[in-house]
Amino acid sequence: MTDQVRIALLNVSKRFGDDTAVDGLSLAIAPGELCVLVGTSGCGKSTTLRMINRLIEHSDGQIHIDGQPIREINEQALRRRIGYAIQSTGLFPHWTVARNIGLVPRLLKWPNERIQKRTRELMQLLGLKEAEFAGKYPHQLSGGQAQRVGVARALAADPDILLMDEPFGALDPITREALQNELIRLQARLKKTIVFVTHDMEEAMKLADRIVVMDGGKVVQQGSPQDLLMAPENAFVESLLGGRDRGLKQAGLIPVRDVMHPTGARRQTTAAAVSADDNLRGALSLMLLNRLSSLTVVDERDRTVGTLGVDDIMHRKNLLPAASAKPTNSSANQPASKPAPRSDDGDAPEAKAKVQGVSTDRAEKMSPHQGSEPHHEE
Amino acid sequence: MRSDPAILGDSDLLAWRHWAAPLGWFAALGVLLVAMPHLGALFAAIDPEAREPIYRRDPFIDLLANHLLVVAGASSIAIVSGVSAAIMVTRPWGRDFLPLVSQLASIGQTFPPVAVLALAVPWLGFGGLPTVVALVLYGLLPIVRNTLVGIGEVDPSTREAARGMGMSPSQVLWQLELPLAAPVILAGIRTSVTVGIATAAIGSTIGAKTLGDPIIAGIINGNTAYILQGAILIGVLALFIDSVFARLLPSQR
Ligand SMILES: Nc1ncnc2c1ncn2[C@@H]1O[C@H](COP(=O)(O)OP(=O)(O)OP(=O)(O)O)[C@@H](O)[C@H]1O
Ligand SMILES: [Mg+2]
Repeated sequence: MTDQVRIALLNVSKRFGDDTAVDGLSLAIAPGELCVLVGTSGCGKSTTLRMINRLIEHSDGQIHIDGQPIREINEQALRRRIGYAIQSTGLFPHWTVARNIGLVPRLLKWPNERIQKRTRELMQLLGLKEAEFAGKYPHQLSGGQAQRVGVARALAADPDILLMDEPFGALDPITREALQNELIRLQARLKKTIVFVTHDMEEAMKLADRIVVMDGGKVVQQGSPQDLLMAPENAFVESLLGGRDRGLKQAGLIPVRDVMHPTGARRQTTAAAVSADDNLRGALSLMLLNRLSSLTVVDERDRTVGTLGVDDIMHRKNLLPAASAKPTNSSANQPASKPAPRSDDGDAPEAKAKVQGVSTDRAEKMSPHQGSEPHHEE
Repeated sequence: MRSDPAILGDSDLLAWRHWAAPLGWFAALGVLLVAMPHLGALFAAIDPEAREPIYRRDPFIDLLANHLLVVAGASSIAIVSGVSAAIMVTRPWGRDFLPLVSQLASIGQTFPPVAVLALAVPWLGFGGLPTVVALVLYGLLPIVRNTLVGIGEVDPSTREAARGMGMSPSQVLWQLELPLAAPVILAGIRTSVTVGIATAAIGSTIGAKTLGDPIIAGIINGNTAYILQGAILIGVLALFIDSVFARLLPSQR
């Protein structure tokens, strides 16, 4: 069982005095999975996250990493092998960007040349120009840049596990989207096991292999974004999912490519074009905007590859992506019996990486790496 | 910390123009020490009634050296004990003692040094030792207070990140808290030392040889010239030391 579960929480509780912040929580996270904890403020998301790296000691239950109870691992050693990124970044204000990124490798006593090499690699990975940023201090960075440095620092010692507590929470929507895209791109390449906390359901749906909805320290529902949209457990989950916008959100998870008619089937070109990598939500929006009932579908080089009519969207039997899409983890409590998400499904992350809606261009400008071709993972 | 602009303001800390003020005061002090004994005419004019216009019981240079020794001793003790006490009470295991320590430091400062001297003499006899004790008590508060403030001002999320990255408590202290608190701690030390230089003069009342000697003698003999000589030297010494600290602290830009 242990090679299929990287992080296991078994009936974990945390009490602060008389308050119960986390109440009998069980969770099993598979290697390579991106698991997003969502819920309203104070529901225990951060507490759960911080119990995993022992910044908070759990009161009850057991937490295992790779099958080993975390209490058996020296807490500093444990934390050095788990990346940690938080909303306020927590960069050391008196250290340069390069030194901040090299923090954990230095704690691990890597030789200097190796630290420098790694720092350089990470700055490149996160689109921070070394010449420009290496010598800067945190107060000289924008919020988005600081967050990139925070993520680079978390990745520095190449940990298997990454804990992220609302890392993009304090950013403007465009920068946030750029960084979300970047995270998807990184994850497709690095395949870390990520526990990501947010209270933004859009963000959760965009990033998650599995969403864990929490309320009052308990898990209300967990499953893939599609699972949740198709069958919200109760009114609370439904309201988190955006109530009336659910239909649109669901459409936002389906790539145009999966629904369109490839060119040749129906040869009519229209004034407006949608990217094959965009999603149905973006397509619908474009139709509404241009008062059109069908769109031309183009690929990344603007070549026509198909058409998409409003009927194609409506007449799909259900809006669940076909079996070709990534597997869901509705029975996520026993992921041992399930294949690790994504690991058997090389296409999914790339398809996802390009689901960007109409603001793709702007997002690309903010993230230098976005523009590069998607096939650069070795 | 060597190349840390947050603390040292300028990377070219050693550039000599930055040291103009301290060097200037140092030169003034030297000139005064040499010239003072030859200014009999001037001081006679200031206080015509004085029988002897220049204080000659001990050379000024001896008084100055001893004065500095007393202050240096007291300040070293105050810095080491003040900073460590403040560090201890900001650790999780020492937090219970925080109110006690800050109260003790406040009491130390509100208690007049003269009273400390009077109380200490029966125990420690006359001379430098009771003076050092009085100065230590008097100088602790600014150091303790500023160390507490400096460490307290470190952003909790930075501290959390440091722990979350796997830094040990002592690494958090030495690599994060102390470097960030250093300017504030240094400011506290500056206040403590500067005040100490002025206060050390009272040691002369119980037989410590300090620059307070001419002042006490002047008061006893009604010799204003003596008082002035002691006061000028103490003042210039304090300004010199203060200007050195001003250089070490980041400039207000
Ligand atoms: N160190 C602490 N001491 C006492 N109570 C705490 C502590 N940390 C968290 N709590 C309490 O535990 C509960 C859960 O807090 P937590 O920070 O996990 O919430 P959250 O889901 O992350 O919320 P948010 O979205 O606002 O960050 C809250 O009621 C909070 O007041
Ligand atoms: Mg939180």
